[in-house]
Amino acid sequence: METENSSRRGFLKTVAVTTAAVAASGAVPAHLAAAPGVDRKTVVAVLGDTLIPSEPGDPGYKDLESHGITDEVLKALPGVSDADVELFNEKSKEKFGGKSFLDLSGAQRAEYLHQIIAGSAGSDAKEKETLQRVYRNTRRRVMTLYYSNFPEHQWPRGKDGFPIPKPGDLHQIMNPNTKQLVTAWDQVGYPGPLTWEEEERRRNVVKKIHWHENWSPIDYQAETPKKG
Amino acid sequence: MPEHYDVLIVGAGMGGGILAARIAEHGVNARTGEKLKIALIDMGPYLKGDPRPGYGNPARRAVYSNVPGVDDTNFVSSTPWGTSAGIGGQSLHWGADADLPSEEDHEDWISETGVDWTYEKLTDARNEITEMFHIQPVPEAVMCPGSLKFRDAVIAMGYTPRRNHRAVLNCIECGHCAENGCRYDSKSGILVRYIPIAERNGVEILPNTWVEKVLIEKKGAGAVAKGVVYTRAGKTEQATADHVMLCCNSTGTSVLLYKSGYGPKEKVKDLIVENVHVGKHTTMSLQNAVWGVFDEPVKRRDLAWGSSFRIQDRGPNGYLNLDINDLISFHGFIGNYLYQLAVNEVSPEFGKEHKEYMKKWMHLGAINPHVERQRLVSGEVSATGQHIINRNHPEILKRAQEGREIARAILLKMGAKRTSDITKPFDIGSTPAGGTSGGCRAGKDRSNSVVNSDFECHDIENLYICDNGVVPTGAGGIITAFVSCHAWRRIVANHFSRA
Repeated sequence: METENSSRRGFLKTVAVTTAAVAASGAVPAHLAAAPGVDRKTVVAVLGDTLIPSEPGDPGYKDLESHGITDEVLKALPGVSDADVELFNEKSKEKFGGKSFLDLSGAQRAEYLHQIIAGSAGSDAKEKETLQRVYRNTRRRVMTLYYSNFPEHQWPRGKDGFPIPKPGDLHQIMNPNTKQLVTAWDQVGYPGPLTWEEEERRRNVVKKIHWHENWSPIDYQAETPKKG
Repeated sequence: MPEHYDVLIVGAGMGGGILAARIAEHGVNARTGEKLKIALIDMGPYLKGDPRPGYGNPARRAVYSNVPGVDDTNFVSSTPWGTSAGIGGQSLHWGADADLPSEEDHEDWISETGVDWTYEKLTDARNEITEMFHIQPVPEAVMCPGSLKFRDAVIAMGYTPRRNHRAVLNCIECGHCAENGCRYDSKSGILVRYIPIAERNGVEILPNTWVEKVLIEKKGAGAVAKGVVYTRAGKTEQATADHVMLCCNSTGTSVLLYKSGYGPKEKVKDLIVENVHVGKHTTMSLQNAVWGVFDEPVKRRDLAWGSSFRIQDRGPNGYLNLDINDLISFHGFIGNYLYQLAVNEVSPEFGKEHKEYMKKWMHLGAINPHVERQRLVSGEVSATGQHIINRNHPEILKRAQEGREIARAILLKMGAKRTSDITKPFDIGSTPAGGTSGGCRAGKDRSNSVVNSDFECHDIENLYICDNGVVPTGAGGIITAFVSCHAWRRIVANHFSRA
């Protein structure tokens, strides 16, 4: 649904200004700054921003923070304990002049991730494994959630688990993507479930290729088999 | 008094749905000549309504949202072993690839267990499933550019491509087949092709009903099936029947038999009859896709089907053959959903490079080599329904790697700029539980099998099995449906015909 005052262009403009300012400073936004004893959510949020960065005119992970993307990531992030997150945040100090992951600039964070991938971050095999697990599991969760079109990635379901069609929608179209928010599907041109117009277009095309309008399963008459 | 039926069928998938429809349509009580009283039971829901291929029926359109994402699913109900539950069974969620068994496959079945399922004998079954499921070759008009590149590349490499067959009617090419039910009633399956026949012929369809066990009684040196114990809406009851037919898939049927007192003694708590072959000899298609990244789109946005061509690379003496499929397609077909492409093996790690890669998602495609016709590994179903198999036999891994090398060579011939790194160790994948065979395989006698060529249990009177578990080798899916079209003929001729 579109509200009166929102449009895709207007949203992009807002996003571009905000993102540019944050990118220029490299700073962690104040509302995400970690308390003493690293905060899991803060680290994951900053890691998410590194994985899918935002640029002017090209939103990324942090532009969906206001919609709770990190909270959603944290709902299903297996194999990553608080101690693992603490190690991940602290280990960058060894190669980045005493700076934790949260204190690194954007470029330094990317370099740190490359070191983890290459196996050169971490003092021993156990630490390397932990760092790589934090990276891999968070990457998987962040990427799959983002490209599921979060926050427009689900259709409301009832208690029985069945989707709830929109009232009055005779065609029961259930594409959760809207024009109100720029999400992954918009960024990459992914259509998602078919609209009614798209269904009709495809029916018209396929009718010229291979179509049986009035086929019924009763049409085929199997013969009664004989004994022996 | 428990309800009594002539025939009780447990499981409404590729086996049970076909049996219910055709036995009701063609069978009669052999003594009285009267119509049979038949019940079809399934643990999942019933999305009822006559099909309207190409448009969809309101019940299916309401449930199959086709939202492709990590937190959404169209599996409205699942079995404990991860297959789809509901009237229609796993046929609700298969990908509609429909290549029927070859003459060689029939020879394998006969040599493996002594079944009498010759290619000629199953001709009526083949004709029926071809017509009912509307199996036809993929039309070139719906193919994506990558499929055509695949075809041209393999011809240049000296292979003969074969056009894939699919089981769809009035398909509008939405691309959501393999992981979703079809909201347009186009993908052929039991719910939209056979259940309407079952309804018209008076089959009592009992959804949301979980069968706890089959009632089996000792009878002399053997045993006889008498009915089932089931739970529905929180209440546990019994139903009796003159004939009990199990169609719960290789895993489900095996577990149900264990719980009913039949199977290998180490898996059965209260053993009534032992047969060491229950839950054994499971086989499946072994596969591992190789991805390619191209400079131009290989998928298409307007229409596309999942898999258009295949080639075969034969192994020594016709075993360990490689069946190599193009899997270039539009979204929705095994690994091609956007959220899956984001983390697949050719995706950049992160950052701007990853974002640019995702914007070119239509430039990605895979080729999928399967290792087929292997006699080296088989698995078994545990007492709790886990499928236990060690797929990593050295000869299979070697052959799978050869398949990956061929797949990569094809991708490069097609013009791919980058492919999966096939030097990395890999874990050979397999088709999911619904795509296995064996488990309660058909064969000559109880020394090597569970049922005979006519689907009758060797050891338990009035018990029949007809699902992918009876197939001696080869994957399930269309093979199960095809074999079930033979099963109903044998069962009607032997048990539900007047002299």
